[in-house]
Amino acid sequence: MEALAHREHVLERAVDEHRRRGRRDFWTLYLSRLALLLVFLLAWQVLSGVLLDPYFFSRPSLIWDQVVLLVQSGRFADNVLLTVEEAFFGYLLGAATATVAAAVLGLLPRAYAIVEPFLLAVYSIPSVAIGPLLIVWLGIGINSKVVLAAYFVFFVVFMNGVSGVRSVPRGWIDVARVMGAGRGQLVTKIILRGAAPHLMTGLRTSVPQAVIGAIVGEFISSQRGIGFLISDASARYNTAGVFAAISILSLLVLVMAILLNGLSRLGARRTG
Amino acid sequence: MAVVTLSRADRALQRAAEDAQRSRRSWAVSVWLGRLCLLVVLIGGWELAADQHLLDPTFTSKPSAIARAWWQLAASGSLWHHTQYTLTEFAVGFALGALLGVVAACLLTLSDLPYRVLEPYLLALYGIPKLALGPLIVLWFGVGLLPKIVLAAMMTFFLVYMNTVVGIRSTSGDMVNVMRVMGATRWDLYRRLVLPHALPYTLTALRLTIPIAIVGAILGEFLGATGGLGYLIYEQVTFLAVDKMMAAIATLAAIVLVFRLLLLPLERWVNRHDKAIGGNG
Amino acid sequence: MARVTANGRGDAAPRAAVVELVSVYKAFVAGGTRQAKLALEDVSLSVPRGEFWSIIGPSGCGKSTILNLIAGLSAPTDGTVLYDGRVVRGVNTDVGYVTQDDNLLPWRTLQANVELALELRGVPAAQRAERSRELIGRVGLSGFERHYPAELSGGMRKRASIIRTLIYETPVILMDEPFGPLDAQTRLVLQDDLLRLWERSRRTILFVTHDLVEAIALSDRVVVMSAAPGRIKRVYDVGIPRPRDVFHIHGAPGFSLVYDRLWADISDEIAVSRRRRAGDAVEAPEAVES
Repeated sequence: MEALAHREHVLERAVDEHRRRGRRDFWTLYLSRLALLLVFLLAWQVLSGVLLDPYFFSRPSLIWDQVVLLVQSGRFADNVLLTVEEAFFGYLLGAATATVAAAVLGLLPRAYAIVEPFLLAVYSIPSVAIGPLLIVWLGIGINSKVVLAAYFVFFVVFMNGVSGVRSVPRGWIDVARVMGAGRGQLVTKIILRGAAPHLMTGLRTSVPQAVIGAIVGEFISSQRGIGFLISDASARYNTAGVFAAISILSLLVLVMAILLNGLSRLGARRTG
Repeated sequence: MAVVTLSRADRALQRAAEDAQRSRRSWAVSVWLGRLCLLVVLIGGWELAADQHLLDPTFTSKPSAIARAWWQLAASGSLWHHTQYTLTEFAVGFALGALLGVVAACLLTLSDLPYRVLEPYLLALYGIPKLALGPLIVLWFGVGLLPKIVLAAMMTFFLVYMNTVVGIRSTSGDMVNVMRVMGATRWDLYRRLVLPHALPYTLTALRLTIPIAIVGAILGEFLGATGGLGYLIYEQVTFLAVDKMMAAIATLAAIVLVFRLLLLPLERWVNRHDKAIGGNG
Repeated sequence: MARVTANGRGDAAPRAAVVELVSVYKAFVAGGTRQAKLALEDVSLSVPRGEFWSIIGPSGCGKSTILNLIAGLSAPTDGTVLYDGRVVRGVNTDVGYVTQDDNLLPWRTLQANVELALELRGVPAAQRAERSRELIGRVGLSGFERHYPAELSGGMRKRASIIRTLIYETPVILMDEPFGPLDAQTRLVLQDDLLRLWERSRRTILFVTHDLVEAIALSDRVVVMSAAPGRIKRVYDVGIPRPRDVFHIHGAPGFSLVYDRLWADISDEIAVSRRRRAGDAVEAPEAVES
């Protein structure tokens, strides 16, 4: 009886200790985080004009005004939609070509060995550098941005896809062969299926790349889009405008990241 | 009694070795032939197509014109002039970003609370497309070398920081315990366990950031500069001088390749102890 | 031949205890839950200096937890852990710890790995080399000093990990299923190696294992633990004379008697823990052992 009572006592003590530590951790963690953010914003707001040159650093309230202005004037929706459109089509183009290329080259090791040095050479071209070339080829409209975004996406998906195809265990293929799988079945049911998790990683991580590609394209030459908002405000020395546009872009990327996270969590169970 | 007859086992071994060598050789021959053919077809096809006006040479240029443009740029000294700009921006920014990344990773992992407090902010900063900050950086730092250095450093910093933290955090808890029981101090743990363990992660990040650091520098040059390979490319848009653009792009690719090749022996040396695991690492 | 005592303190310990657990409780709160689970319940042990003790029991019975408490890597929820008469507070650097994985540093050569503890203690290089060479030779690894762990076999790495702990001559060595992942033959050879090394220095060893034969072959005493929460069920005095021949331990006098009694105890516990696991498999199948 006494032993049992003591056991209860020990368990209680462990739970207590855990709870106490957990609560302490929770408060210190979240309060510190919140405090840091508030101190940062407040210091920015207050010090701007005192220590910080408002001309260069603007201040949170002014940035907020700019965001409100953008939304009310309708320029917000217009520009955001264009950038999203460029990124979307660029992503589709880049991801589709990369997936096909990865599947074909992953399945044909000799062909892959042949084109490898060429791929390495193209891969070494800093992605931004072909921007002006695309402007020359495709004009300053949406096409050049779509292709630049696709180029930003392509290698991320391609590399992941190839490593996915190569990661399929030899044993799976042997087992399927012994079971009498034909070549077509081998490719669709085992190899591509087995490569799916890697490919998914590539498809997920390359989404922000598409946005960046579109933005960089807009920096180089454009009349609309979030990238245009940023560079235009910068050219007019409108620091608050630059910050406002960057905040909008960051928010866009954040929303996409959250959506993607949800999607990939849904998909994770199926792709393994 | 050395009778010179091969046993069946010997013969089997010999045949296996020969077969392996033959198939290796035929693989190598076909791959190199394939590469050569592809090179000839690509270059020759491009050249021919441009000559026959299947492709518009104003827009696509052609290999011979690009080579000529490269040679002219090189001979006039302007290629080297611009390369110097880009190299300086890259080298300084890369070194700065890498150094700060490693130092930040070490400092933030020393204790748990600061790391967990700062983590969401660092992730948020990491999430902001850094290239999008280009115009802001130019606004702040003007059109000299500094904004490009800052951009290159930013591109480098985050990946190096993230990877180093992953490396540090993946240190085996068992090994930390073993060393603590041996009497290791915190400094001992960092010097002899944590940092050597994280080093390959950092090096991987360095290899991956070389191209993106250059991307940062070049974007900076697009947004406002007086020199640099990015500036050279950007300048040609108005002249439609595709040959010069291509020549400059090829030079950039070569720079990236050279730096990655330079890092390879270092990586191999750091991972020298893995040689028994397989040579493909 | 095999005397059975009710608990570790048993028949008025003839020699002074170097490690002592007095009515130790250890409870953990499983991650993400508010539920505490008892890993150790009222564990009392008293290990005399210079003896080789084994601890066996079903998985999740808190065997490793006992070692962590002695090493000072975690603190008991209730009760006292004593080392050499003093309460263990914080990391106990008087013990050596051999983990299940060999945990050699991959970027150090075999010799550098073996010398690690001496290096931490500031022993000059020449002295370090002398002592490491001697130990390396004694376990038959001469010639491999400059090899990296990745170039050694599992058994060789295990030997290195053991002499890495022996080299700095702590009075007590804790071993947590050190031969777990090895194949049967290598295990035997290493058990033999370990016994030889131990017989030269006669340091105190606490050896966690789930292999009955291994426990009997190596130890002076075998502690049998019950399924979670871990309690000490019985302590067996093995009593097989030394030096022992691990390769033919089955034929040693008294072996089958100890074996049968141990097996009877253990099989009960395995049955209990299996029943319980099947019962709360949905709830929390993970062991609470840290």
